[in-house]
Amino acid sequence: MAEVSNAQIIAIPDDVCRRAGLAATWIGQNKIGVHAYKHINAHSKDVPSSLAPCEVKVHCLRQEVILFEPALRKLVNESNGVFLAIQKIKNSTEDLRPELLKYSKHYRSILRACVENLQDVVEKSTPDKKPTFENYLTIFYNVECVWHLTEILYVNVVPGDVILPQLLEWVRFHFPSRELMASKILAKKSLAADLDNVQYWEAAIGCALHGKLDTVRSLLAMHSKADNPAFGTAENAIRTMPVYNVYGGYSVNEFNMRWKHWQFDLSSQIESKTFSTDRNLELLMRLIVGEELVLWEFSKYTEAWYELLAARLFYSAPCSKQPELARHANHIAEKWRAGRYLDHVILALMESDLHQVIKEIQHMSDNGWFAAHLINLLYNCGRLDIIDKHQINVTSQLHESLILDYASTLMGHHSLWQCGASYFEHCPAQGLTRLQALLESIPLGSEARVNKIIEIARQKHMTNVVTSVSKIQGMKCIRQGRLGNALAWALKAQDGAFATFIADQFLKNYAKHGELECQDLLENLGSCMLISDRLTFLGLYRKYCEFHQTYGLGEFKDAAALLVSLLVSNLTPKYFWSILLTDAIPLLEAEDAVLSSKDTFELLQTVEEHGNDPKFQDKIDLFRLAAARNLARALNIEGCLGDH
Amino acid sequence: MSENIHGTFISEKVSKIRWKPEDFVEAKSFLTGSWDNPVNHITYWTFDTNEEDDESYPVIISSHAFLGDVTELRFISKDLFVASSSIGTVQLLQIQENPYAQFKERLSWNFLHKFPASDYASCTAISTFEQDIVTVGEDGTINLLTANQKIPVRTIEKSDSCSMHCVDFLRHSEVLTGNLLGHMKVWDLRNNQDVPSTTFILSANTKTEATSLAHHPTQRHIVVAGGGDGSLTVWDLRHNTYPVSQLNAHSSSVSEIKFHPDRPENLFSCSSSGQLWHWNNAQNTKLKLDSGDTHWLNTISTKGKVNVTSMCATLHKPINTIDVDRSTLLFGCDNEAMYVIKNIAV
Repeated sequence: MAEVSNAQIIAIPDDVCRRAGLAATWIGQNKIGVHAYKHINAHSKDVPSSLAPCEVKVHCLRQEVILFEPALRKLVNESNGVFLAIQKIKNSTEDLRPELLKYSKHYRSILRACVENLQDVVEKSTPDKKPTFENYLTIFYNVECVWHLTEILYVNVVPGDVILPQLLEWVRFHFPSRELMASKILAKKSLAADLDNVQYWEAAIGCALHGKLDTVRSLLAMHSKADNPAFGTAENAIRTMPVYNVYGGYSVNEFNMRWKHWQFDLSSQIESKTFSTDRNLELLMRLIVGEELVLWEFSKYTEAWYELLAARLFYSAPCSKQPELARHANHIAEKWRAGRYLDHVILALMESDLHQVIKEIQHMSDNGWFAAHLINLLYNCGRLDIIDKHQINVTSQLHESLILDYASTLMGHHSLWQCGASYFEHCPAQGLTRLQALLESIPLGSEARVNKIIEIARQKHMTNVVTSVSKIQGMKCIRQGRLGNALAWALKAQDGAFATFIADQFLKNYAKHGELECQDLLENLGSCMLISDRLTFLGLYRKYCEFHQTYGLGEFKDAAALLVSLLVSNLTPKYFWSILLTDAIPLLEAEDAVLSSKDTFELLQTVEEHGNDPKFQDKIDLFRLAAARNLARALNIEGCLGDH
Repeated sequence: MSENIHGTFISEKVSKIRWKPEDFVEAKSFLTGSWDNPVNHITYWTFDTNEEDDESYPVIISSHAFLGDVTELRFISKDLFVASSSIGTVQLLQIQENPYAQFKERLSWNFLHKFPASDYASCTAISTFEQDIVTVGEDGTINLLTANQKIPVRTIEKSDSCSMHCVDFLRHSEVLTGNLLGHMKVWDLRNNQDVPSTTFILSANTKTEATSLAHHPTQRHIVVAGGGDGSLTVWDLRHNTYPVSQLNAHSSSVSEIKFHPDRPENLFSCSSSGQLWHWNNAQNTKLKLDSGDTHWLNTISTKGKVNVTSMCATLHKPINTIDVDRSTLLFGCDNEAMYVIKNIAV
């Protein structure tokens, strides 16, 4: 997607930066650290910096994300639910359109709630905050307006494809002021409404422009000259105006005939000056008959060109289908000289240029909420077909990239990261890899938070994220001197290598201080210790220590058996041999012989292999002596036993 | 059932939700605690009736800023509650209605849980028995507090070499704790030695943390624990420490388990997979009011007489907390919303 570069330029007010140059590094996910930097290489001259002395600053740049505002977080979370619900129905084979329309309306109701909530906030906010919230209000009002039109044109399935009724509804919904005016006048029930209310004609014409003919008739009936035959004729003409309805029982051609006929009648009445008693009435009737000049005259009663567009369609081309809309829209917009941002988006929508629409809505400064959710809806409707300049269909890439952008923004938030994480799964190409990278870099916190991060990784089968997060947490525990907890994390992540590392720490600490930590934990390891040889050794050695404590009770036999099995098991780490061999001395010297001749041979063999540890040098003679004495003893006893 | 559910988005992830107890009448106000924000809140809510459709909706009465994540909220009387935080602080707060609704701090035990390197440790759970409060934390320390005294009654340091995740008073002199590896320990508080009287294991095969504990409201010796793997384990601690039943319930970590306070044949559980389940054994208890020594929870795996119903469609984010009073259930979720379910069938 080659886009026109419209990068934002941010000036850093720092003199050192200005003189030396800049460098920037990412800090976390949506922050950049900017600092002064001058490149030095092997060929640079080794002289004191020309900039010194100076005050060096690191500037922290962060994208402003309005979605993180509490008032808008509701929108973020609630729409996330709708998004995920849409992804769920995607796989069913039924016709998705009616379902999608329901979800589109749900999105709009969320937007509506958000706009209403913002209105409350604006009222309550302090003057310095007010412009900000007013700005948000405009943004989301526009979003809602565009969403509504998109829903009409692309999501809703209109039988017969005649879009006028929905278009009128949309216009009425967004420009309710004149209808409100009319209902106020009607509520007064006066007999000369035009004399009592200066806005009488404005209301009547406003309603006529929105196609609210019933309201217009009620207003006319309250006019001071309502008894005049001109008003009677007008009332009759308006009442009999054919309005196209798909279910009305007429085909489009038939309807057109009837409508043309009615129009002809009315224009002949106008020509015969039937309505000349009241200038406004005559203008109104000329509008209704479809006179373009009058339409433009009344543009003073409209706020946007599309209001006028709806009126023009209503009175001049009531059966227009979507493809014809573009022509009418273009004509009106051009003549109106529509130049507001929203005008462009709406025009592009009407011209069915969705690529342009998406380009435009990306600039709505809502941090991509709108673009991501709307494109997803259209994508699922199958209404999206975007061709880049090389005539390659890039629809799914565009869809994915917009969602990825939005999700990554959320991942940068301390609380909304869970919400953001749930979008990645629905980006088939890059989603999971991106999520993996982001999950690994989320700042950890309490174990509750760590568990939540791991939970997400588990759901998405990212074993390496589980391992790496557990390891980070484990290392933190080691730094805090909590080996037991570090081991727990290693076991939870099933990380054998890390468990070995921690078991080593335990053994080394024992070698140094002669005390085994975290007995309560090691005691209850059970089969978990099999995850690593070192841990198995640690577990067995702990058991040996336990026997050791019961020496006094004459439990030498079990201790001896365990010690010998440890010595021959080949699990012993190198640094631990001296301790194991030292432990053997009292057993060799025990009052009753607890080690058999075979065991003693094993001991002698291990001492030959591993007895060269410097820490053991002072004990080696003692060991040999004890071994020799025990061997003599044991052979003696075994010999006696053999005799029997 | 879904039409009974009403959700309110509150722009904060809800970590705890608790009814404010009332005597003899239905509870009508409640507290929520949030987590994962730089500054979190404990919010006091009540129900307001909308005149248009005669429905009642939760509205905020007052909100109290709270440092760290709210990890637990427990009422010890009608207006006094204990709140614990992830920075290791425990506070005793009072709800005052006059002249305007606010929380008044009665006592604060600051940084009760901490690591040796002057780093704070999260106070992960608290349990209360009348005026007594027991707290456990990631530092593996048990603190025994009482509501009218600033100095802890007793501190058992290094009671566990892993971080502890749940605690429950079995009786006034006995507490049960569960840690990161699912080691469950019973502590007899009358014993002055800092060693547990019994240790047993949540699950022999998988190393998973004990996330939540609940005891039967009338038979305190019956204890249910939720595991990080979504399992529910039931013990009858009178007999032995071997679980009487163990069920693979939720598809991921159980967040909270609650017995219905007045109708203990109903149990509620929620999980980080967004599920909310109702376990009901009503038919059984109606037939025989007290079936002697075997409690229904003991037999759920073998006889399968219990109805398990899902109370709402699976949510997309973890449900962190539930509380139930009479026929109204509240739950809070990580999608920054809390929900009210009315007229539950208990």
